[in-house]
Amino acid sequence: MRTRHLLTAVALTGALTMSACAGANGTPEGGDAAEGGSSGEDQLRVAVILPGETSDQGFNTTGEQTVELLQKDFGADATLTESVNPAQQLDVYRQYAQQGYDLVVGWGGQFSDGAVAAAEEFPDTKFLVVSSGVENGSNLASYDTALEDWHFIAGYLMGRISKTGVVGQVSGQCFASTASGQNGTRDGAKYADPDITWLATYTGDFEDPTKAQQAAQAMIDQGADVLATNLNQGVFGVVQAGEANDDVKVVTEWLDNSATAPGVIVSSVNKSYARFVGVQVQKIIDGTWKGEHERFTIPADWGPAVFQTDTLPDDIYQDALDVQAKVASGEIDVVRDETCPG
Amino acid sequence: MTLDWFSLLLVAAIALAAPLLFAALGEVISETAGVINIELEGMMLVGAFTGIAGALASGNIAVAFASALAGGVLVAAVQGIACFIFGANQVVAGIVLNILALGATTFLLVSALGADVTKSAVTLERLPIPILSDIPYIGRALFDQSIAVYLAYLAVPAVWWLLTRTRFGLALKAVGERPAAAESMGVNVLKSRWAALLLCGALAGIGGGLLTLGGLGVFTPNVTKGIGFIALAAVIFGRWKPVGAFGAVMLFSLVDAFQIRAQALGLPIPYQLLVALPYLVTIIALAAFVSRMRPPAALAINYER
Repeated sequence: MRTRHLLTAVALTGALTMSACAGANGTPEGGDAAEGGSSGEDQLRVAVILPGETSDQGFNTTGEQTVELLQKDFGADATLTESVNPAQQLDVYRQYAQQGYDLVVGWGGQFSDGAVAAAEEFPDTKFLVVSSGVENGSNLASYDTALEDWHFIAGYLMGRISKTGVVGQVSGQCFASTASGQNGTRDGAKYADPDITWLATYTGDFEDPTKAQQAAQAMIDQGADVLATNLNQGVFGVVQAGEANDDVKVVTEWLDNSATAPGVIVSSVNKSYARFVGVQVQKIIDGTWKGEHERFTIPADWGPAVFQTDTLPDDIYQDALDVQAKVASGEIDVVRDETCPG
Repeated sequence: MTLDWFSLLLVAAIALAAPLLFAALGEVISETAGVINIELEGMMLVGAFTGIAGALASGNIAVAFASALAGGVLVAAVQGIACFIFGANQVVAGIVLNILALGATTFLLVSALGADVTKSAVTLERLPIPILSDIPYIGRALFDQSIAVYLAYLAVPAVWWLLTRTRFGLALKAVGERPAAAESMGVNVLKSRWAALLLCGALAGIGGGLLTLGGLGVFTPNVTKGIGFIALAAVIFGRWKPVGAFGAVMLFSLVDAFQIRAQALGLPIPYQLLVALPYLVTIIALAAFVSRMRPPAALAINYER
């Protein structure tokens, strides 16, 4: 019997260690000091907590880019932790705060609760949550973006590209911020073509490519030929559905990942949060940080809100940039719609 | 909702059911012999991973499926060593193996495949059967799928035949009901259970492989998303019979394919309810039938001479 218990204990320990190694843990990785950055006491130390893996060519990849930007432009000692389970967020916030990090960034609204608690426990550490609305007036700030503006432009592209007059979006979960993006896409498509048929599906899981593939195929079966996505790992399923069917295009988001599926990914929404984290870090350096929530619209010098690719007709791309200018100037009033289906 | 809509629903459901069917049939064989595999999910996950790894390494779909099979067998072998040799509790070992499979595949994805999940591997091509695939409404669903999907459905009568019409199958039944009596009749209980367990691993591995190689072409962390547990439930709901498991798997897959299509129809139903629908149906079906169910008498009980 003793052997059995020993075996079970060893197996359990092994299993837990392996899953911990896989990244589902809350142990911060060692920070990479910026090249050429001073390692003196004045060097800003920033940690970013990601919900997924930096390999997703999307939201989490932009988290990694943010770390790189902070190292390069601010000489910061910046690091990140991948695949943090939201249930463990407070523990991860605490560990970074105890290690003396100046700023800890929660990458996504799901990391709000831990930041609120950690900000109270560690008044000398600053906390920032992206895609969130939390603030405490001192060391806790957040921001989100007017996603509807960005996605309106992508929706416009989709409406123009579509030959069947049917377009749709496969998303993970519906809450205020994701809904504002998805409804913006819808309104943009309808701006391009008022008669367009709009399809929308939430798979319930940002990380499930199989479900996303089915949802995409269901839309294609209904005649859709351009699909937008709001997914993390799930996006591979939509792209795969695009590759399996003739003349189907996919619009992704966050960064230009068209090289992963040339000919299928027709464009991507250029909406990386990296720059806005930079704005917050600059405030810390300038001493103007206030611990407030902010909502960013597309900055005037943002550049194109959608990426150009070889498969995107140039005239449509140029028209989309015109639409972007009109959105920025207020000539087109994009309404923020946070409603979910049902 | 036109007739065409239903025909496309059937296409999706049939393809969706195939990976589940492989795993459920494997589990029917294993549980008939008295071995429960809570790690069915882990077998599928490892199969999905080794399948993609094999595909990326060889570029050959047959090699890819062989690696998927081997992945499932590997998990089964660990379960067998833990339970049959060291006498571990089958349920506890199964739970541990699921955690291990999730951790190991996610870890290896980064270290072995270099986390290059965007790299698409070879996937299975559709193999339409001439004439039959042109039958209106059902032709595409039944006869325009990949070879693995055909094999999944052919496996239903094959497993039925194996369990009811062969000496091996009868031996498994005896071992699962009254192992001591079986042993006294000259059946080697341990050998029979090993065979059933490894066969289950092979089928579940292929099922997992089909998940990634059947069209997705990539492995993402935890890509199986719990369908191994659905296969496990299908075995109970199907009363440990191949045809019953087939029915349960089809019910789940039809509802799943329906819910994801219903959303795109723009019905005024909260999406959370639709997403939960396949699981709700499974729970209700299990609850309704559970009183009439009798598992193999020696299920999950290790045999000691």
